Amino acid sequence: MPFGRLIRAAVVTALTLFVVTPLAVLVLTSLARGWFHPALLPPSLDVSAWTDLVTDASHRLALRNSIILGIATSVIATSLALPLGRSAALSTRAIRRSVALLAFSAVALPPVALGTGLQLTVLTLGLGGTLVGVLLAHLVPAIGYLTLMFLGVFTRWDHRLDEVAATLGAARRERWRRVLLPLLRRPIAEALALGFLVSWAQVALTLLVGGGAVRTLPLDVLAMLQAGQDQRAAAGALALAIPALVVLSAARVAARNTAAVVP
Amino acid sequence: MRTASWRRGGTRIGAIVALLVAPLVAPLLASCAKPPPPPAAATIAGMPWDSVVARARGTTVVWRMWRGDPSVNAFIDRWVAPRLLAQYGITLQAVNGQGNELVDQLTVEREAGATTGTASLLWINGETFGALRARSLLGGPWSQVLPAAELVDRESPIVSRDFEQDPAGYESPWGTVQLALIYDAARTPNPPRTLEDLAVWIRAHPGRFTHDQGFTGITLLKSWLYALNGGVGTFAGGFDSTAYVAGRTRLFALLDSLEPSLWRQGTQYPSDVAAMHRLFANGEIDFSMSNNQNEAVTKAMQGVIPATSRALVLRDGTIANAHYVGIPFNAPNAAGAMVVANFLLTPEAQLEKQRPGVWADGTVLRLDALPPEWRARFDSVVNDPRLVPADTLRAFARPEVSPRYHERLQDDWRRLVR
Amino acid sequence: MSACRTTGAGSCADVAPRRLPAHHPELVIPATATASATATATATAARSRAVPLLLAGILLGLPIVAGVGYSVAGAMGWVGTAAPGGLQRVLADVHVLRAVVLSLWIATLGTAGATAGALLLAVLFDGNARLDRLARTIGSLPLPVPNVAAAVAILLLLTQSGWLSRLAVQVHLIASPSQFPALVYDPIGVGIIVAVIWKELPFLVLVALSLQSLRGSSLTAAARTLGATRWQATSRITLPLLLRGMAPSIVAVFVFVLGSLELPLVLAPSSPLPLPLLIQERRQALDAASHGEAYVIALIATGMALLAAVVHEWLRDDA
Repeated sequence: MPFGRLIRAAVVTALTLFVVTPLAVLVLTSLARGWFHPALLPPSLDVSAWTDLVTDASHRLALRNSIILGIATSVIATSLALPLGRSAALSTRAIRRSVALLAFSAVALPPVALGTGLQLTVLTLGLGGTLVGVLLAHLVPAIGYLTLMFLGVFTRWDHRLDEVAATLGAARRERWRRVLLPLLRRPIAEALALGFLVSWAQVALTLLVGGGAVRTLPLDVLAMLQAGQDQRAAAGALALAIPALVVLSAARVAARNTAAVVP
Repeated sequence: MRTASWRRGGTRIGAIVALLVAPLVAPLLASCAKPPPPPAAATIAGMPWDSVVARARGTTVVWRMWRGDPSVNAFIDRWVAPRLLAQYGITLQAVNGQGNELVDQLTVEREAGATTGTASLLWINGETFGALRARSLLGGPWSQVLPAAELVDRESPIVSRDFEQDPAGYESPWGTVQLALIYDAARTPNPPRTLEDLAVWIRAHPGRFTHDQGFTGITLLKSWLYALNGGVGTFAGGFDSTAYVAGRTRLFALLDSLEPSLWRQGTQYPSDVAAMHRLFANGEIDFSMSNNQNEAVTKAMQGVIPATSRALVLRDGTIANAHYVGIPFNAPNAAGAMVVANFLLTPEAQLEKQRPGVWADGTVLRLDALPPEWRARFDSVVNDPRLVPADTLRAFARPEVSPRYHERLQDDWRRLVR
Repeated sequence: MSACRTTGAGSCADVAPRRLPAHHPELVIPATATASATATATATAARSRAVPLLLAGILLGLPIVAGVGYSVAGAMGWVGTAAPGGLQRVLADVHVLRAVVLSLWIATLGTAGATAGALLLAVLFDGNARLDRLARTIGSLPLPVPNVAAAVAILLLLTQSGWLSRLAVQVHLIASPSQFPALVYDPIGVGIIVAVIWKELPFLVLVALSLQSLRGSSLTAAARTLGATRWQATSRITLPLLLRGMAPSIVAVFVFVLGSLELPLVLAPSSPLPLPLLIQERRQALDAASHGEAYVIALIATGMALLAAVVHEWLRDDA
């Protein structure tokens, strides 16, 4: 139906504009010095914000912290959430419900409320203002998300493959290596990506538990915005968004299943 | 059919997880065995200066300060830090932290029994200093033993009293600033220069003026509080509740009458100075402001506001205050912190800080106590044509009063006006 | 299929089922294997049942208890510098009520907008044509963008002197920034709502699409053969089914937006303050009374979140 095609084209155009315009404005702002109203385009292109991002020691430190926290969170959270999700999926319905409720609460609790308590805990452990303390805080929502994810994965899991392998004489470790892990490649890749992104984007918990002493890239972006440095804030925001996009795409590519239907 | 192998598998997995979690938990348990607390600032202050410098050599000092301005950051990271390393062997690490954040963090640290903190030096003033002192979160007294402290202008009411509080050796002065409005000479060639004229201007140009909700906005309101109530003398000498309430009534009456002519009809206020600069630069409002009178120059150089921006000091007086550095009670490296504080007071460091291209932050030194060639250098910097003239600043400077006024004004403004 | 949330709340339990790779044939399980296993089943059953609860308790329960517990202790004045009586002051404070209302308003409208957009995209673009895949790819772009970055982008776009306003000036719709509508720092949070929709629509689209592929088109096909028009099939079958399946995710998005700090930090008005910002402001105030109030408000926010968690679990139907 031509009318239907028109609607679809219109919606795609509107969607594209909606999605792309904010990102385009970020790019322009990151390259603009002295760009004021009502100029539609920057007066000149200036890459100083981008070079500063790379050369400034405190920005490099923030970037390094974000990367370390992201990788640590993703690996640790995945390793802990996978067995948790699996053992919960194999348990009774009541246990599955309780674990899901706990996991969701960890994610749903406003970080401002959660962070206050975690701050005291971390300080009592002598980890106040340290990277490890902030890591512990990031792990809470990360493990929550990933537990929910693995709970879903293992609830729909077909355990017969493993049982068959067992009856055919495969040892435990071999079953894991040759049957379970290959099938889990995709969920694990997604879990690693998700865990990384939870930590990478985190603001409230880092602020509260790190007490301002632990700098990460999102905190730097906020600081630059609050200091009126829009050009640098935009560059920082893009520096924050681009790796996130890369990580997510990499996870999908790494575990591409030919039977998949949805991109 | 689910077989028992899965249930066994569950326990096995539990064991594997325990093995994974153990390395995480072990260092936490180990950290429970706390090392002895580091020597307090007061103790270090009792030692001869040479031994303090020797103690500090090869150490790291973590300095919690406001890191929001790239010029200030560049001064600290690229001028101060390398010289500290070269001259004293101290590695300076400037990290973010200011105001309420610091008080909050140190309070929680004390509650948690953290006798060794992370920061050794803090950039503070005013109500932050007051709150830290009231809760005994600062180490000291120590600032009186710094060799460079002799050069400090102790007679200036701006430096010798921090919001009317006696530093008493618990903080060492670093710089001075004075509140100024910022206007665009191209847009507003004849700005109003008194509060009365400003009120007339605001009513004539509705929607073109506002102030922020933060420290700077409240400071502006405080200077109006003085101006409307017979000057700063009315509020000097500690917090007087009656004087405050009477003064506040007049101030809020003025604000009420101005409200319909403010930006967004006074229903919204920008959250901080950065938002003000953004509105000002993009032509939404015609005045911005800053606690540092020279921000008009430095921000224009950074391209944040138009190049035609100028500073305006209201003739009724604007508030001048000093900012300081302090040492927290649980500082891991008090000796290093003291060496840094001393370095910041040297004429060399004070001059560099005052250059318009660097930070344009005022000095706390007594210029007539300096040798003639230093005096000449300071004069040439202070008299830079881009900056507000020194005698203008002096003529209209008003000191800060008790921090309780600031707290009450901020609180009441938030609850009654905002 | 990655139907999982990346940077916000999400019900990851609603992913589509794992499809078995086609080359694994189904085998019959020999009876002997199961018989020998049941003997040890009951012995290890009880022990293994404790494992997930214990793990969940340590990894998730402990931090939650720490977080909530400290807020309770702070509100009661047992720890920290809070003054007692916070609860009465908070309940009587009109600013708190306005904060709760604003936060609920933003969360409701943002979630509703994102849901509506997601349903529209899922219904229009569920095929395999080039246009469908293009729409799905573009729609998923904001997914990994962190909230902070999205907030900055929307700020630069929508302020009265932002890029849209400049565009309006260039096409002579308005002459000065004040004529552009106040979309940011406004009392109904339009800017924040737009940012919420921008960030959460991709996630909900993903959930909707995975639900569609899961449920298949057999129901709508059957309806069509019985004479229903496409619109009837869509409105009476597809949409209700999608909504029902998306319900847990919608609740998740709602509660996440309710508690999120980043978007209001950049885009919120000064009056009324959204809830997370109000908590921050009172927490960092220097007087003890405000501290106590901050803890009480934090508990209110926590209560709302826990309520949403229970609703979410109740809506999840695959346990």
